Amino acid sequence: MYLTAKGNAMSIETKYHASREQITAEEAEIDAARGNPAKFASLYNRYYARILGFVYQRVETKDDAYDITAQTFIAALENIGKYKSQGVPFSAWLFRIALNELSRFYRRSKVRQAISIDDTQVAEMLGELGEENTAVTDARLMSAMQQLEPGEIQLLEMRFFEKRSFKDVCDVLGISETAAKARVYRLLERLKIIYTGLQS
Amino acid sequence: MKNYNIKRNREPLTDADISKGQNFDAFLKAYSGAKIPFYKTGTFYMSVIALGVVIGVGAYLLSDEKVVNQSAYVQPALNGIDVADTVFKLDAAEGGEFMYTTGSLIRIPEGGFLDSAGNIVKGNVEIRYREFHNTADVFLAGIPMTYDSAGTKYHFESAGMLEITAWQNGKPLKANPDAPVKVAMASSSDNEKFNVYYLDTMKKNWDFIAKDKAVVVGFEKDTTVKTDANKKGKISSSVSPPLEVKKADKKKPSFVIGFDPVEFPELASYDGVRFQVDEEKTPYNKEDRKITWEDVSILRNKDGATYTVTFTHGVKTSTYITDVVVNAEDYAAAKKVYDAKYAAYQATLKAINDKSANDDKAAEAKLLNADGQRIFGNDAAMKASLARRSAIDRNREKEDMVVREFIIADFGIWNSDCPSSLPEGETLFVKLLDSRTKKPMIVNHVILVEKGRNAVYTYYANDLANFKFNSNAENLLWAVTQDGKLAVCSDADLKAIAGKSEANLTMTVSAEDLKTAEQAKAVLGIGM
Repeated sequence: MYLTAKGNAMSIETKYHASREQITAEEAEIDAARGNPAKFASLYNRYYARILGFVYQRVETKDDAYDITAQTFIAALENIGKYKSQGVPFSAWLFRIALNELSRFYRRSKVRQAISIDDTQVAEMLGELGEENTAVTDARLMSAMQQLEPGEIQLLEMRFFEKRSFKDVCDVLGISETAAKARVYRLLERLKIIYTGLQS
Repeated sequence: MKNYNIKRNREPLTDADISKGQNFDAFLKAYSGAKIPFYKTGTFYMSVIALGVVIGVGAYLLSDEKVVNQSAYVQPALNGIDVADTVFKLDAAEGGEFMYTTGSLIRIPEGGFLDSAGNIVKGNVEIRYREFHNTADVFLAGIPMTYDSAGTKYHFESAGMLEITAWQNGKPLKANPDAPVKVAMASSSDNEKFNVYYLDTMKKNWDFIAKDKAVVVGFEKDTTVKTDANKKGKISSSVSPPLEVKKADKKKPSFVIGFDPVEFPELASYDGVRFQVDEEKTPYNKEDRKITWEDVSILRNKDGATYTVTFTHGVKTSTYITDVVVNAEDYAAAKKVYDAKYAAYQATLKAINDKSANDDKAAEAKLLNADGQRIFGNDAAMKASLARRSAIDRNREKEDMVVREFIIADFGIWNSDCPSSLPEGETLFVKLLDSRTKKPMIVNHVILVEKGRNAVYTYYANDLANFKFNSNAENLLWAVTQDGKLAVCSDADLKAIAGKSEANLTMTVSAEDLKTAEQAKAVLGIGM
């Protein structure tokens, strides 16, 4: 099934946002977990499904996703003493740890990184590139994505597939919003160049 | 080549899938079973923190200087002297394209600005733009050139830096990420080792943005081009507009100064030239007329129309920004000379433009081939502008232009840089002395410059116990005294302390009352 998407208007998923009140409320739970690992339960249960989903989109099997998610929470609890909010939500910190664990997994297991994408996302990406959604353009986009660097794929997934805001992307990657915007812009330009090159 | 395993239309995880893995008790058991090395424990961290506090307090008490810098992160080194902005104005709805004096191109798309509420700005907008191409520019503008990467401090070597901001009715505007400003900045280096960084003044650090790549814009130097360029070269010497002299205003102070006609051919065309003080820029001091000056220097300013005149008597100097004027009786003749020169200039310009237009297509085609994979290579308008630019350079018989690409996601300072470590050399304990008092000089930091490398190395006061420099290179050391004076150390001064384990280094404090960046650069010995 092929869909058509036009224009650059992009919706942003609000599920990744954490309000100031949420961040403050969580700080008490984080403090408690620092003194007693058993108090980590509320944070673990709140974020388990999201981290598992995030990881699963990037690996091939569910078993790998379970293992990496478990490693993510272990690393989080080990390092919870170092976590400082400073406006960055706890969830962003967890996603950052998950990305590190994923990198370690790719290096260690020497498997190719998985990218999960559905037809709607393909149509939207083609819209971003100003292209019609056809079998030919679809295949060309898949080939173009193969040539992107891992860091670029990371941005593509977060900004375009998961539809995170720039604020959220920069919180997870630990970069400024300016850097996030510039990198996303460069990513799109590079994808366009690769895509156009494949066309000719 | 397949780098990734792309999985299409995967079934999402079900609640059952999530429940299968989500078990806090099992997780806690696994966590408790994991052996945590001592260096990862809280006890270890508390010990380290405690030790750090002791060392920190000790170092603070032992330090001679407790200078706390609470000023703005980017602050000019000398009061009243800075690298000047060039202001471009445009209609935000239309966008525009500008060329900076270095040959850099700044292209602003339609709707390139947002107001503080995130709305696309309409109406007139002012772009303030400047570039920093040498160590003196960087030092005078006070741009921090240290870069902290994962706790390691590096010093930047630069292939060029720019600052761009946008304003409307005195209020700063934001960049529109969907329609970013693009800059093709002229660079003196075609080295591939540089990266693009943005200065985050809130975090007080540079953000790595991307790997930079120099793009050479221009023609290959084949015989045909050379011959053609040589022909054009004869015209190019007169390609800048002629100097327009004004009629002298008898109420304003002016000087007659002898000048070298070879150095200032544009002045030599006129009889009875005088330098009339622009009192709005430099108020005239009547006491100056009582002094018999020993020396005078003339410098043509970047605007091409005014001159900086500096008089010297011993350590006293007096500087004025001046217009070139002639007395009323000489004005008619001067006007005639100017009109003839202006007509010749227009004819030359037309010839060059006609030739440039013919060259555009070839230049653009060449750029396409050479630059197919570049970011700007995908931007037809920018590509065409760069091609036009290269044609102009060709006509002026300039070297091929090297440009570096910046996509301005936010307004501020952008840099094409390469992190480098401090120079290799023997470590010595250096104590700075003030040439005026011969006593220890208190400074916040000093800047070490190694000629031939476009890098500034920052030594904070406490780092001077471990001062290093490459004695095989030509070095300079710059600082600003607490009373705001420029202090410099020459290469000979530094070579004199090479090989010692500790040394006093006398910094020569400038007695001049520096008023312009050009004057400061003359003292610094770089960037003129």
